Amino acid sequence: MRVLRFGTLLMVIGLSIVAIAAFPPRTGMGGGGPLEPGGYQGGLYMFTSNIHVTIDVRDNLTISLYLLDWDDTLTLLQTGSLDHTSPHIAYHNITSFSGIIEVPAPGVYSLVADSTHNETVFLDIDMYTILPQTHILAPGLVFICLGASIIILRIMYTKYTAGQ
Amino acid sequence: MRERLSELRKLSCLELTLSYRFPTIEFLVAILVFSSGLGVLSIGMTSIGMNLNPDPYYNATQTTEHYTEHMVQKKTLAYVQALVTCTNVLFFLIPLFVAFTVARPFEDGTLKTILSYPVNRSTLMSVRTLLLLSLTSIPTIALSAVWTSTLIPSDLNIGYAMIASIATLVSILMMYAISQFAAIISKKSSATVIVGMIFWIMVTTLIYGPFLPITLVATLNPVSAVFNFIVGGEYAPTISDLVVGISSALVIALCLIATSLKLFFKAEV
Amino acid sequence: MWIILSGGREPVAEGCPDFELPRGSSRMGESVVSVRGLTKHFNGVQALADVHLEVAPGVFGLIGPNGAGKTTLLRVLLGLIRPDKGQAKVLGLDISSQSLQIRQRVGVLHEKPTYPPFMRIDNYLKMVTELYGSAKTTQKLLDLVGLSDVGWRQIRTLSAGMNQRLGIAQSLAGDPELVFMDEPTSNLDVIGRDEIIKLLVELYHETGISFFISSHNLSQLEKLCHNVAFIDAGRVIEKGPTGQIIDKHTSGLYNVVCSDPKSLIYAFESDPDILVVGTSGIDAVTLCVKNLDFTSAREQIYHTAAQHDIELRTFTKANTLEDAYREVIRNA
Repeated sequence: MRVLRFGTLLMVIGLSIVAIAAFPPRTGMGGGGPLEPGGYQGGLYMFTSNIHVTIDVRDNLTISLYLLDWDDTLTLLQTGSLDHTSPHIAYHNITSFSGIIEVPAPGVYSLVADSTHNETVFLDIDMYTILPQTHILAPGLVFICLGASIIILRIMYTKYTAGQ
Repeated sequence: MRERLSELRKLSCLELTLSYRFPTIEFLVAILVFSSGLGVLSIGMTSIGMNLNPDPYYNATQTTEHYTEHMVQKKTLAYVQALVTCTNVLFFLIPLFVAFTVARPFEDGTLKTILSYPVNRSTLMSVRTLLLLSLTSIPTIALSAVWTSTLIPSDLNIGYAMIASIATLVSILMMYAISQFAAIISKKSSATVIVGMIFWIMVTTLIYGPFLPITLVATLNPVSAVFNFIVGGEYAPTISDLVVGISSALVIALCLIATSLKLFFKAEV
Repeated sequence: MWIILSGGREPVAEGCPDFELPRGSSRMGESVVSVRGLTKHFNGVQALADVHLEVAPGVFGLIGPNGAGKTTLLRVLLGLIRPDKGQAKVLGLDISSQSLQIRQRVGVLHEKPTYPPFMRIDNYLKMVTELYGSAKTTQKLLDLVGLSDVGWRQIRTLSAGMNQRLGIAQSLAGDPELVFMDEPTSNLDVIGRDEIIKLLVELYHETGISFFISSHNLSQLEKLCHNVAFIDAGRVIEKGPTGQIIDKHTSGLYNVVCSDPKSLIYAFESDPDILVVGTSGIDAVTLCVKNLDFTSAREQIYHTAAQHDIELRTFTKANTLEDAYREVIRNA
């Protein structure tokens, strides 16, 4: 009985996590504004799944776009440069971008752009999280499977011992 | 001492079997997983803008500290928000649990049966109190911590997190004390739920805005007061308001629990 | 006046001659329950009024109508409610200061008991045994009450009779010296009642436990109890060995079944020697004949009936506990 309850508890926890994964997160992530020559413009975000990003650079100018994890973000802040970082995503010389950026794991990331011009570039960034939030969904499903396995094994064991 | 512990263990088993049978605990944990997760996400999903100009005058240390502090505050706020969300849900659930575990046994005769066994009334009540408080507060604090640490890197402001955790415990204790008092006075589950709901409405509505003095708000809902304190703003309490509020809530809750125990000891079954 | 209730008639469970209760003398000793001046009010209503009672070891029956104070007395003795006045001891222990020790040594079966419906019978009994810290095994308890085949079932699936058996099993879980039973057969049919009575008689023989049974089912208590006490409106109005009480209060009482009870009552209305106690059935009348033996009483009644053209079908002595109880209540 206790084993069955433990299995059920795991399943219930999994279902709650799955419910959160399906829940639309806060929308309206994005940003933009003037990007000074040699500077970096962007924001710190918490991502729990892949994101859809739309970037428009005004006046047909180009920028480079990077996705950095928290450690690389700290390196960027400490050095003021991307030299010692290994961005998860890097798009160079783009005038606009609209697509899905894959986020490897849940956590805090910075999405930053830098300019390749010697003049101020204006850009608009808009993004939204793709549902379900896969990095939350996955552990939820793991919990459900684990719980279900425990329940099934327990029932099989009970039937086996009853048969003997 | 060993006998006392053995009695506590036996009564805990009895109480778990009678009042927390499947799927009560599972339902509670599911709600707390969901509430704490939403609480963390609601704060975590807010963004922090970055605009770096690494010119010769760029102060790396200051900038890093600035953003790190932001992240620490965000993580702390996410943790406290998770606690607030869970506590608000628990403010609704605790009267139901108390009605189910304390008041209903008076009505259906279970208490008469249990008290006919060699069971000490005060031990029985202590076990009920400890079980409910553990089953509500430990998952609340643990799940909030797990969600926060999983989703948000960086450090946590340990001081604020501790205050928020204590405030959570006191808030839960306060709600439990009020519900338990109502249950023992009335011996009716319906009355317990009604009193609990009135208090729930009070603490979840009146605390916002200038209706009540800040210290009273901190007394009625300490964990929300801690959140307001961290966020700041017009109606944010000061640290002394918080200390007074949490202490008052703790004293009121303990007095109510002691009175309830005394009443339960004399209650006619 | 204080009476030690002991050594009553020889109660026999009907239909089970093997289960005759032994004469109590070997088991008689110190009182198992001693009550002095117990008084209890509920919102101005007097539930117990200066109750005095001494109960000797054996099987004791507390008899009274609904609302007479039987359950209240039981609850006071168990420490579930506090008396307004008076003192009581159970197994020599004071009810107000030693309630926990009392409950350690007694078993209780409440009226319409509530047990956790979703628990298995064996698990529940195991839990109760643990609470008592008793060495008794669940299997032994189940065997004792004849539930060994259904120990795996959930309590909610039990019939009323099985539920009552479970109640008896849990009351025996702590190896008690005394078992309190409040209306043990109240929600059972005739067969169920007989089974429970048979079980109690068996238990008394096997274990020697004393029983304190509160009930308004007189025929059942007559079969079971060495001693009884009548309680009405919170007062003990009669107490003593069952046989003595019956003899004392049924002397001169006769049950008559006739063709026309209405005319029979009319016929004896003016007779100073024969008193109509009341109707005791559709064609039955209970009469009280003073100063005449059985044969003379029968002759006189037959004679009067014949004069009024009434056919008498049966004429028997009224000598049950029920008759005695009716008489006591009528006189009270």
